[in-house]
Amino acid sequence: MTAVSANGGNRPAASISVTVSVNGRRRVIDCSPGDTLLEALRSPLGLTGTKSGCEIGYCGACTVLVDGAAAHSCCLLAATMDGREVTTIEGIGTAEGLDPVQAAFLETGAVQCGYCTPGFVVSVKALLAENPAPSEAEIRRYLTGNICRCSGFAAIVRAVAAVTR
Amino acid sequence: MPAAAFELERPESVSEALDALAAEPDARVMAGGQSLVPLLTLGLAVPPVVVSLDRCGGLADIEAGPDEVAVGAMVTTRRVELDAGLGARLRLLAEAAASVGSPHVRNFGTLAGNLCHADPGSDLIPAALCLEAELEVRSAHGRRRVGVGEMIDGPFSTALRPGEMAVAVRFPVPDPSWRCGYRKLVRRAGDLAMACAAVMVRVEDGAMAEARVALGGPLRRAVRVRGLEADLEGVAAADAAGTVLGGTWMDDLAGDLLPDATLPVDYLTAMLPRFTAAAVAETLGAGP
Repeated sequence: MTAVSANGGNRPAASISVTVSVNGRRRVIDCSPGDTLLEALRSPLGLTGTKSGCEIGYCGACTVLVDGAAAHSCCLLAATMDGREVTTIEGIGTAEGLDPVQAAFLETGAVQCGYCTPGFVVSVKALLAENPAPSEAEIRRYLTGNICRCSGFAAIVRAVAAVTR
Repeated sequence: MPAAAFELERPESVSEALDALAAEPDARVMAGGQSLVPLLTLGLAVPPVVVSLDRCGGLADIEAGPDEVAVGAMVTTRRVELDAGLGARLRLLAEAAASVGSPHVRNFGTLAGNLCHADPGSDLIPAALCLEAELEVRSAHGRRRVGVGEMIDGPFSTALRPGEMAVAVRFPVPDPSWRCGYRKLVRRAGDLAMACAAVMVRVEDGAMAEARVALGGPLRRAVRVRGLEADLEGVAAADAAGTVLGGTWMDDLAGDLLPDATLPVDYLTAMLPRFTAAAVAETLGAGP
């Protein structure tokens, strides 16, 4: 059975139920085979901090952590995520207590339009978990999977360096 | 969201996966999904069934034998990049793996999936060609081994038959005396290669006793450049770049060039020899 989705495509009715830990909470996601993790997070779960950009694994706006590893959530099928631990930007810091990465982005002015920022922050969390004191070259190399179209890369690299200082 | 609906199968064993593939000849296998999910989203792949290997046991191992390393179909590119044991024996492969996309892509994308996707700009195919890797291919009816060079027909096209899937990539372990190098040309970090070269050279008494060179990027498929390899053999290491630039080996590639509006034939025929000369020189400079 198919239902017509908001954008006119043929979207099959949700037929699969998977249990995923999202930001430490057990969540049951009802999805169709083709739903990406990005779509499942934004629509049924309402976690809209994860942004939809290129949708083909290039821009990094949709970056989340899956079992601690940086992932383009547009390139993973939600139906294959059962039992995984997913961390989105909503699981990093709070409005009252910013994560040090978020605070550094604010302090160094590493935000322009802000659309790419959640993806960058999540990627930086993954980088620092792997490598707590990255060199500038390592920061730049790791952030290959995130694009800032305002071209604020220099400030973003400074923000990451500031966290590790 | 995919352009067309499909059914998703998540078999728990290789034999279940092979049964699913036997039941639907147009099914597509999904390993890490880092190429297939974008293709589904773009409508460039519209399979009726996707067989995901994510729950399939026994495919995520690296088996290191005395003469051969077997990399299971679900081993990620990130693991190929970072596994110390594998890196010590197949440094060229680890170096090429580190050049694939971004950490995000490498965390989930797999070596076997990258090879079977057969993108002309793949980093891993030229490395696999130089290392003379073979795919271990299975179907419900049997198994066979096929060289990576024989497996790839053209852009995104392989000689895998309906019902077949790669379960592992097998690499003969090269003697440690080989020097190796990987060079990639891109406009933006993380892109597929505009050009890429994998090089292996064995030097004896200051001259190249054996050379392997594989090129990818602006070609229908990555290839071993046999004419250039023959030109390099016996040449003093110091004369390598001149030999690459002075050879006629580019003529053999003429029919395989994939020019486009931004990379016309004139550019490719001028760029590839210089790029390849730099890759060979860099490899020789890297030491054994």
